[in-house]
Amino acid sequence: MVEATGDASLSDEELLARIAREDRGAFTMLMRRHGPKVRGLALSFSGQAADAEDITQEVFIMLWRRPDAWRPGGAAFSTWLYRVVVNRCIDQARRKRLRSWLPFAEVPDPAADAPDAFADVAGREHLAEVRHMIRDLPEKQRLALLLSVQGERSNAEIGAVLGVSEGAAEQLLVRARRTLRAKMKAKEDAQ
Amino acid sequence: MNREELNEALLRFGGDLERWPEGKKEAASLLVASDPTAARMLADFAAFERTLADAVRPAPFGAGEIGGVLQALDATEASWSPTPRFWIASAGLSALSFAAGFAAMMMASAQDVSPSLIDFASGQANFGGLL
Repeated sequence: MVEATGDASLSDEELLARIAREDRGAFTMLMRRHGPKVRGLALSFSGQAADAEDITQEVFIMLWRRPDAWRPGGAAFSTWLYRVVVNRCIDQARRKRLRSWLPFAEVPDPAADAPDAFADVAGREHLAEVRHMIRDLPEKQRLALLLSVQGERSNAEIGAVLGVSEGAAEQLLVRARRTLRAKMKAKEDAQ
Repeated sequence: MNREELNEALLRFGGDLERWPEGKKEAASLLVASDPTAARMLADFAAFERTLADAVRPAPFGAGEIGGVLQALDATEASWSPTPRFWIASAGLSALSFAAGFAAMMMASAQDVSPSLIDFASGQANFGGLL
């Protein structure tokens, strides 16, 4: 196994080439670079810190084992990575829905609004409410919104990640933003 | 562009005009510059998006989280179990080894081998006239 540098100037492609030679330094660098957004998307989508942890680990372990899974020349690495995370999020949500029908269903994890899930905004009730509103959105609208707000992806990239046209991605965003804006306004008016 | 169109475009492209298509960006900029209500709409939408961004800001991903992934990786590699691909590769290698051994045996004892066995090995056996 190669133990090498974690040079921040290396491109994702170069890091993956090094990971293929079992370079843990490169692997660590890749995690440092993309980990916040991978975990952030998983956490914002699922609302469960434990689920986000599982998805993050699964995604990075897959990258360690199959660094050639992404091929240069197609979608940018970050777009491809978001697609992987989105698929894992959807799979996990589907499994949870299935499990919830079983008589021996697990007790749900505490919500990610728990202080340690978002330590930097602990106690900010308003933001917790907004997170709840986002989690109440339909799955695709939620993902489109998170990719825009958190991932800073363009509408075209969001379409590519979700496997829909740019126009369809825009419609998802319009519905999500309209719903959230109305809910937030209603909340403000009620106060 | 009028206010209603601005509202639709905000919902579609977000509050950052730099990310808008060129033509719409120019039209919105003109409207916002000349209409205080439109300027207010843009400012309100930007505030709305900032709230969303604050609500979903990624938690820190530091040494602890990276260590967690590495630990999980080591744990899964320690409990590695063969995949179907492994078994297919093993079976292929076994077959190749057997074929190579058989060929070597045939060559080494070519003088002692009966003609019918050579015919069988080369696929030309008669099998009692069945073929």
